[in-house]
Amino acid sequence: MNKIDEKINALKKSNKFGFMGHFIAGFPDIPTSIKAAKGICRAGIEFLEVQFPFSDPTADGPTIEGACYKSLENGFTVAKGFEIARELASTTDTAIIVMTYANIVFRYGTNLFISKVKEVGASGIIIADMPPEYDEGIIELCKQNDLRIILICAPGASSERIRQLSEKGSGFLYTAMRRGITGRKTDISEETAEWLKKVRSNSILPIAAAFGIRSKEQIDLLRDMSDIAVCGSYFVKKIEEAVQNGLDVEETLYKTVKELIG
Amino acid sequence: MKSDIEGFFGKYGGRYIAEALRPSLIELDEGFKRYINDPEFLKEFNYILKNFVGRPTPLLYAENASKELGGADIYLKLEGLANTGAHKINNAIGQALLAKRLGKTRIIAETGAGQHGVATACACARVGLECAVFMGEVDIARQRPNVFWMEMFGAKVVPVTSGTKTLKDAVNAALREWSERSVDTHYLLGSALGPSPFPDMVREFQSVIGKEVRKQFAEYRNGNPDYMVACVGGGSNAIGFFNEFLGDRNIRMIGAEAGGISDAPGKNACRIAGSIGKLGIVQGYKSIFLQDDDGQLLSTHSISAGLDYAGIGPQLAYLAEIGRIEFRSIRDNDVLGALKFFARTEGVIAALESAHALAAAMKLAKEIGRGKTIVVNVSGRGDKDIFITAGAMKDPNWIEFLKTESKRYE
Repeated sequence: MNKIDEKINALKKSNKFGFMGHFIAGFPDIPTSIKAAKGICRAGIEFLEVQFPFSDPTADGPTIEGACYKSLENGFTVAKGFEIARELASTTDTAIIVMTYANIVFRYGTNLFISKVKEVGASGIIIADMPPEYDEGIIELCKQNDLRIILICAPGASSERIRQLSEKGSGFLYTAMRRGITGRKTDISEETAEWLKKVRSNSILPIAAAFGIRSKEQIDLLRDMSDIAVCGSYFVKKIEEAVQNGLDVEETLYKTVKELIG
Repeated sequence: MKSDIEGFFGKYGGRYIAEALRPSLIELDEGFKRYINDPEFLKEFNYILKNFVGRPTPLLYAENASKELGGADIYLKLEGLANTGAHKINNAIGQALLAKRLGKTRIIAETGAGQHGVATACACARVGLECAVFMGEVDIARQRPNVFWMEMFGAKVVPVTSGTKTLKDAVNAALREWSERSVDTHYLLGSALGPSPFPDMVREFQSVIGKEVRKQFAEYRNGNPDYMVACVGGGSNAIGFFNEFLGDRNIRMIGAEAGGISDAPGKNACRIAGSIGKLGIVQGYKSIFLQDDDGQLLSTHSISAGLDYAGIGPQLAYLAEIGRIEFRSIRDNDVLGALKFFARTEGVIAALESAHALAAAMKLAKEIGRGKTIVVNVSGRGDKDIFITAGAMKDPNWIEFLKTESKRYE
């Protein structure tokens, strides 16, 4: 069984709230990024996004873009990204999801890329700038390889669009809580609650609330409004701080996640 | 020629965007289709082109240059005589008017060298819209005069400090801002690229160039020109110039790309000539990009900031593929040579971008010989480049002047 499905079933069975962590492969360097990822996973999360850096990440904010840039400067390659994903898939119990941009997949060859995702033991993929209308056949390739393709939905989407995205995607529906890009803190306002309610009632998949999550208070609020919370940019800052202060990166990230999910 | 229903020209184009941008692009697409054939809208657009931009711009028979070269007859479309000094203003006015029709009160734009930024800031001042221009920190440092003019037009120039801090990063920053704020804001993209409908929209607003050339050339001679030449960065001047004539199969079309200082990666900005560029999906569209094997964009070099971009508009990539437009690489040195030659022989100082097209035409005129005709789109004038041109020519008096000037502020 696909590990994403496995995790979702387990969450449903125990009526638990899920958590997806996110990190940039190769930031600030490859060994440190693996340590950070292992710390995040050890805290007992269900899903982990491994972002393969792209030179022009238009859907990401300055924090993640800066981290991608640094990773590329320090020698990240797609081949190394797959090895990082392989290492995490084989040493953790977390469902590994490769997250990247269209050009990275396209240049590698869509067919080859999807086979490689499968081969290294990852369970799904997220492509920030590839809506289902322009998927280059990847939705079908994921089906054939028993991988989940997680689509993104953003405020402004109609009920019909939400349903459509949840039907074309699989696993869960990644839901941006506000418009714009990653990184800036999101107030879980009444408007946010309304939006998540709209997504939840129109999606046939569980929903993951994302963008700007960095506190336990936010996550506690989201428990009743969504099925999974996603945290990314916040971890970049934590990794930076740990490196700057000479702290153990794995331990710092482990603690960070524990503080968030309690 | 228009894109198909999904925004493709052959396999190039499309709308590869984050979901957050979808509502903005759908709204723009619907608005564009509605107004591009609206007589009232076109009346206002043409009124401003005539009375503010200064259209039609002249088509000059470059008699002295043609004679000295001893080859084909060269004609110059002088887009540099449009307000703000380049063709960029055509599109800026068109989109600003469209944005107003769509109820927007604010414009954002990207700029590299600053020409599109200046045109946009100017259009916003004229039409009455708030304006913010994203510009890479590196470009701000080397293009201060344009920053000065944009601010004088009342625009806010926002420094972009991410990535390579140049044009592509300014595009990224504008896309990000637009994905966050589109209820009151229109993204006025300056080139014939990006997600659909931008390539169609920019072409339509720029196609006035080619339409004028058809009429003006007919006043000089019977029949079509044999060759048409334009420089190609993203491709807005080229597509606006060529579009009208794409169906005239007897005209050969040449796109001049920035050959920089050598063929080595990072030392030029040739996507098509030399076949260094590869198919990719970046900044919302599928086209030919300068990129490494992993799909990361490569840095580029050109003496002209306006051609210094890793991608090319999707329609031009398609026209290259089917052989309708041929592409040639022009080195920085030949650009300066062409600039000097046309200044001396014709009294025309071309922008460094447009001087690529002039350099291509000089070679071509000799190749094809007497009796043939070439029309060149001189997309902009060169006043803006004085710091680069005088610097590249190492003019001692100019250097002395800069030193004296800077002393005045000590």
